[in-house]
Amino acid sequence: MNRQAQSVLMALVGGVLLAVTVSGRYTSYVKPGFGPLLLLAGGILVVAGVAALLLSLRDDRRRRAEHGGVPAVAEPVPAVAAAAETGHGSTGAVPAGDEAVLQGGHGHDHDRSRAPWLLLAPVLVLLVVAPPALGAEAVTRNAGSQAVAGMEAVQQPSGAGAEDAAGGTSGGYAFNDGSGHGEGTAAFAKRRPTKQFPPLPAGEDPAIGIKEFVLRALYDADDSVGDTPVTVVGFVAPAGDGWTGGYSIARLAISCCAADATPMRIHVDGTPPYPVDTWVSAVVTARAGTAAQDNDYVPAADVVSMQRVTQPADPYEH
Amino acid sequence: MTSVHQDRDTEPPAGTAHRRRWRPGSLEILGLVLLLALLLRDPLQRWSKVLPSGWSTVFVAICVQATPFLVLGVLVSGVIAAFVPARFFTAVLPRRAALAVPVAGVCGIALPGCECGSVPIADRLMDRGVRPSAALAFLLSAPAINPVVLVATAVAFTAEPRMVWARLVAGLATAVVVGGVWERLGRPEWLRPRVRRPVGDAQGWPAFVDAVRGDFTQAAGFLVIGAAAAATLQTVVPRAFMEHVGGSVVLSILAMAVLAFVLALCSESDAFVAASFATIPVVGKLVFLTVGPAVDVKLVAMQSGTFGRRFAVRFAPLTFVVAVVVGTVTGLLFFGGWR
Repeated sequence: MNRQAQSVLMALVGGVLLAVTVSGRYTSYVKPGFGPLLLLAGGILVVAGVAALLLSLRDDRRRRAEHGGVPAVAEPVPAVAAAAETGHGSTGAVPAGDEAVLQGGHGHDHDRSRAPWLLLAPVLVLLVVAPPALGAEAVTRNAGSQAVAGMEAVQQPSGAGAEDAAGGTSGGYAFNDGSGHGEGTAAFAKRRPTKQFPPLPAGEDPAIGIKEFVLRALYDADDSVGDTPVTVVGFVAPAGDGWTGGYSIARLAISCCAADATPMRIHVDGTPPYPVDTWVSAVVTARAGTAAQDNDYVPAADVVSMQRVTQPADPYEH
Repeated sequence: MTSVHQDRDTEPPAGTAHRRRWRPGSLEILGLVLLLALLLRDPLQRWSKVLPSGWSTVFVAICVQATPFLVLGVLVSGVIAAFVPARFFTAVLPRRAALAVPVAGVCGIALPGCECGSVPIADRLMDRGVRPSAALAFLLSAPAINPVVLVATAVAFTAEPRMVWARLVAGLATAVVVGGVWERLGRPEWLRPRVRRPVGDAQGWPAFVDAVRGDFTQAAGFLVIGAAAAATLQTVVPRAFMEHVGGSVVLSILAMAVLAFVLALCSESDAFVAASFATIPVVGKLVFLTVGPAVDVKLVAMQSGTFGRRFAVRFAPLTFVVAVVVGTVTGLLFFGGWR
């Protein structure tokens, strides 16, 4: 790919990035906090692309003037020629204007690197396919235990792992400590680890995230979501492992981009009122004692009411 | 007048006797591809259904997420190319390799980005006369130990604050060990031949813009390969297989190392993913956090594109083994056991 095409492509990538960010579609791929970074990066790419295009046009004009209308054909520099022959012209290392050398000296190798063409792939995918946010299939694929690290049942059969660790070195439960300490299966059933949650938002059927609902259903000492109906927004997904029948209301939680999405699920009995991947807003209450190791700690909930909604501006939780 | 580019691309080399047939320039092909894509949007959309569900979303997500960091990387690389004289690095870095490698590793703290951005910078550093082992130590340490990554790790592991320090030590140690090994065993011919920029030629802003253009299109091209590979592995391999290896310490460490390689997560988000693996012992999580920024499927693609394939087939396995061993030993020292 020659310099002009590279410049145009770079500006194009920047433009697409700006368009995706301004239109708000970027929240299907990355967390909203990335917005300013994407605007900055897109702007820089557009400016740099246009500048690179102008520079290479200026260089062409100069060469034409110098060579009396004959476009750039410079003398091949031995090192560059060798690099071009072996197809190993390093982009970073090839000086400005040497592409003309390569092109002039080796007509067969005028696009000294084909790598830039690959940049078209994400641009075309964004323009043509416009991928939607991850949905129910990703929930099934990425499904795993919803127990928070430090709160989950340890699968090690040896006593050293299970019962000794139940006390923990950090004095019992620590929220998402990621340490890998765990409660034994029996211990979890007998003595559910709990923590204090802040009070629910005021008002009737307060809205909370599905992740928060799951955490409260699993670990809230006061069973706030068992007593108080709350409103959650998610999409309909198939029931998880360990449940027979019913369906899930699910949402994916991401910490950076869609590549690290983790599903958060609530189980509901009965036939799903809407097809899979339909976004719904539901008023639910948690059913106590339903989350266990064999259903990946997915709590069951009773639905008070449910209605179809449009996909939220940010389809993920964080 | 309008056919400047074709002329440029197809101009027969001086002294070649036969005439070449007309070939369209890259700009024309680029325009044609875009035009076709827009005209054939509906058939292409239907055809894209053959991709695994979610593939295109994960693919685009990795590309979009990496772009700001890649832009930061090529800007730094451009500044080095255009405004920092080569003698600066010979003056700043110690002459002896035994000192230069650790110093370059520690300098990684100063680059707040993820791993994709440091590849073009390391390439540029070699270009400016920094010894390859030192540049590689920087390449490995920058994504693992910079402040943004350490803060993210601290947030993800709130109740295990030692993880931040363990990660810092393991990331830096991996970088220095790999740099040291490369200094002793590495051969210059494994690296793609470098073409030195003639000194004094095209310095200043034109050189800056040119370096940014070249570095970005090259590095981003290979990032795209890596993102495609990572998206494929992510959408084909179910993540739940991880939950079944937690019982065995050795198995869990190996599985975490392989997973870090396969998932190709940004080093700023991998701590959150590591923390979410409930059944994995803490040493396994540290190995995940040590391997991930140093070597993954996306980085191997970018490195083989930037430094050459002969480099990548040696450097990637070396880094992988060193990162696993260093991560395990550091974990044992910091956490006093497997747990």
